[in-house]
Amino acid sequence: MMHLHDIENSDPSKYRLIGRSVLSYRFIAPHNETLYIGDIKKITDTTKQSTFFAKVTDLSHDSNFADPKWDTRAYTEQFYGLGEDVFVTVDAVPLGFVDADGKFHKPRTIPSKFSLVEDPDAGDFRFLTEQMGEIEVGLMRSGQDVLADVAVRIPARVLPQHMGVFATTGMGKSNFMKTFCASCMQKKKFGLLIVDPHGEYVSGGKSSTGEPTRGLVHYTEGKDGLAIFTIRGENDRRKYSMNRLFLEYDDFRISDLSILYDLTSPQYDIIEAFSRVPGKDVIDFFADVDPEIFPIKDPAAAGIREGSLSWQIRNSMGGPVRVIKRHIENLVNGNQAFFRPTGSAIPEILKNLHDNRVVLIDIPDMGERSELFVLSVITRMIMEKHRSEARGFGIDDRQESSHQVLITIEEAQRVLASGGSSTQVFRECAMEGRKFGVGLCVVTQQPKNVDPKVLAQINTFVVMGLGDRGDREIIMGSAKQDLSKMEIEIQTLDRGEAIISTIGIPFPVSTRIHRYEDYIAGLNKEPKKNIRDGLDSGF
Amino acid sequence: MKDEYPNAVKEAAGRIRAKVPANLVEKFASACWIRHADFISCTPSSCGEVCAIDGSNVMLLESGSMALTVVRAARTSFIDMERSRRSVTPMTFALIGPDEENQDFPVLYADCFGHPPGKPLSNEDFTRAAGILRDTVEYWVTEQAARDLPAGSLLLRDGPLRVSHASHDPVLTRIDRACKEKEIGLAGISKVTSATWGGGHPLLPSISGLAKNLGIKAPWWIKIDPAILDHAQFPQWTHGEMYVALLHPKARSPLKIELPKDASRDRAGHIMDRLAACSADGRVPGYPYPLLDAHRTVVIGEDVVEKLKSDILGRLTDAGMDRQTYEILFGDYHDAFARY
Repeated sequence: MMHLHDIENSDPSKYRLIGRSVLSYRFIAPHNETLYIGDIKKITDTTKQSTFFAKVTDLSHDSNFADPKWDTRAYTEQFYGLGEDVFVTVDAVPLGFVDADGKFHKPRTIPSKFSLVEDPDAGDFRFLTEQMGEIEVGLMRSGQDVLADVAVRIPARVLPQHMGVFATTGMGKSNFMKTFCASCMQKKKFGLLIVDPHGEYVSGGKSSTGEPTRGLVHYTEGKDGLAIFTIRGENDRRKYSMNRLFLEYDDFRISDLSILYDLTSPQYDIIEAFSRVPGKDVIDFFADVDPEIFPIKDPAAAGIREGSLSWQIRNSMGGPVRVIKRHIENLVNGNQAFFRPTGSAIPEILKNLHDNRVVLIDIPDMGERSELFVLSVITRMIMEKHRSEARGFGIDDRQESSHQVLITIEEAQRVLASGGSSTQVFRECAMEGRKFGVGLCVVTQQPKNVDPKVLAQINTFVVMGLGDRGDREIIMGSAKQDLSKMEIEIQTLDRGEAIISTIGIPFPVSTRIHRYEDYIAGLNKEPKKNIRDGLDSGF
Repeated sequence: MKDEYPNAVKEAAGRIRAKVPANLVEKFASACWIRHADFISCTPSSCGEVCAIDGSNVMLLESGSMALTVVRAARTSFIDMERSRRSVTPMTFALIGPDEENQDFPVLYADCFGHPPGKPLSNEDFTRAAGILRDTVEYWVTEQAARDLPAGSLLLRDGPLRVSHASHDPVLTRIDRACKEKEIGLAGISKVTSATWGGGHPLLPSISGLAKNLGIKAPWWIKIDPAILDHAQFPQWTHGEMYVALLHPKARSPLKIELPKDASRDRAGHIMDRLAACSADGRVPGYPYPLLDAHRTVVIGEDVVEKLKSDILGRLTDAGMDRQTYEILFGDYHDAFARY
């Protein structure tokens, strides 16, 4: 007897894996479905008893019709039954998979054909929560949504292996840094140095969008993790328990000038000649010296003692000496607020860093040159200290510093651009600091202007919105995890959103950075830990 | 010699042009006396429930003495252009030849209608035989639809309301009767027609051009007086009357539509309005979408054909036929030619 088979009216073609290779997934979704770049999808493979995860990297309209122009003809105003044959093709990049034992693996295999594609929930990311680190910065994002129970925490152990924060203006860089600081203050896993010439980190100010913001001092429950060195008046210092910032002349090295000024070759000769001379001697020398006596043809006749500073640069022309003299005078006069002949806060700063505090150098209204001056001095001192500690290791000791310090360099392209030998201290820090427990937190909105060799040293990438294709490409080429498939997501990141790629977390994580004000409000409400509860870990 | 090919092209084109002359429309207007008022505008209304039937047949294997065809038919139902049901008959294989009479036809017919056909099917013309086998399942599905569709539905079949084999005539009669009893609007819709007038002038471009000259705006329909046509169909096998309709302003061509005999003008107008209402799909404007859906449901695509061939080959191998014998029987030298 002839009969008719009913064909299901439901549509099983959607949300099933149809793509193509280990590194490129594809499925289709209804044409009117709301999907976003960055959405994380769960692919349940019942055959292999594994759950794969993938991130949406591209969306495109597609259809089953052979006619490629079906949708562009003038009379295409009405269609019936469109949903079956017209669909959104979703390209996704695999993140990895969790096997039957709950163990996460890199995506070295492919889910079975037609495995079901679904939205994951927080429980699906339990494996990830376990692998996250300590320094919380936000919540995991899936497309437009956040997974409220999946906090993104950067492992503290990888941070001294350099971190990069890449964002154009207005994308929430300052908010990220303050949130990062708050978590560092809370966890106290390493020392963090920040030099703030704008005075916004201490007590807040206004964001680039004009909204009032709060500062690190408002995270009252974390104040033990914060040390502020400032040039502000006594009233302010007392109000927020801030330390007075002082650098003494001997903290200065004449090589610091090369960071602050563009120097000519003859001027460099003078810098090199005085490179080991204590700062106070250099400053005193240039305060008294008459540049007009240079070059000194006959030192003895001119009363110049052999070995003296004048004698060391006797062959210099008067012009370069005059320029250096003027630079040093400007440096001394311009930084009188904290730069003095004797009495330095550097030992205290180092101590606080080694006590794993966030050390904020607050020099409001001091300008870029002062910021770089302070930064280069402290960076050099940190490197010297850590180097000397390392020299004290025995052959059988672990060649690892007991102190971990992360130095923040804002607008890092100023001092870490390609070919800039003048910024040697930062370059050394980037190339060798890791060995001594010194890391750089490179903050820039122009990563393409940062030396690629420096970028190659960075293990943690915090990528916020980058409008420039060249910037995106350099970041994608430098990150330790493959970000190439996430270009569209990087391009479309909204304010306060970031992609965090670090060797501590198994795949690049899209993150909604906590709004600092909300985050510290939550932290301030957290009950204080009772000392009787003991320590997190034993001695 | 050098003009041989251009002359051949010119002659072929000229012979077509002679049947479709530049003044085709004027000649048609003076010959058929169709007036402006004979064209009736459609007022697209709610489609209601529309059911479309289509069939498909593919010649899977063909040798000089026999051929294996596969046939199936499909039915899709829409309620106000939302598909409510879609079904298809199983793939049914039938061998054509080597006997003079088709051995599978009576089996298939009885399978469908519960009794043997009144007349056997000749295997003389493989293509025609395959078409009749396909029609058998298609008419069975159409009869099922006529029985179970609710009153007032529209039942569309791809092709005319005319059978090609005597044994289908009683089936179409039953379908026609069932539709009339339930006021189901039965329509046979043809994309092409052999109908001509005036000694071979094609009907559809003539009607279309005339409507354009008269300034008739689509959608419209017109009933065709059989007297203007060159050849009358064999009346015993014909169950419909001919209409021509342009169902959408952007339709590429009018359609030949057959409605059951003696349909009133109002009844015809009601059916045409509903047809126009379901013919606005942007992919094929002017063609009733349910029929497109039925076609897409039933069509046996190349991928399916490959699978079917593979299954048959597998069974033949199991039954002891070697590859060489298979190639001798069913191999196509054109496949080899196509590689070069």
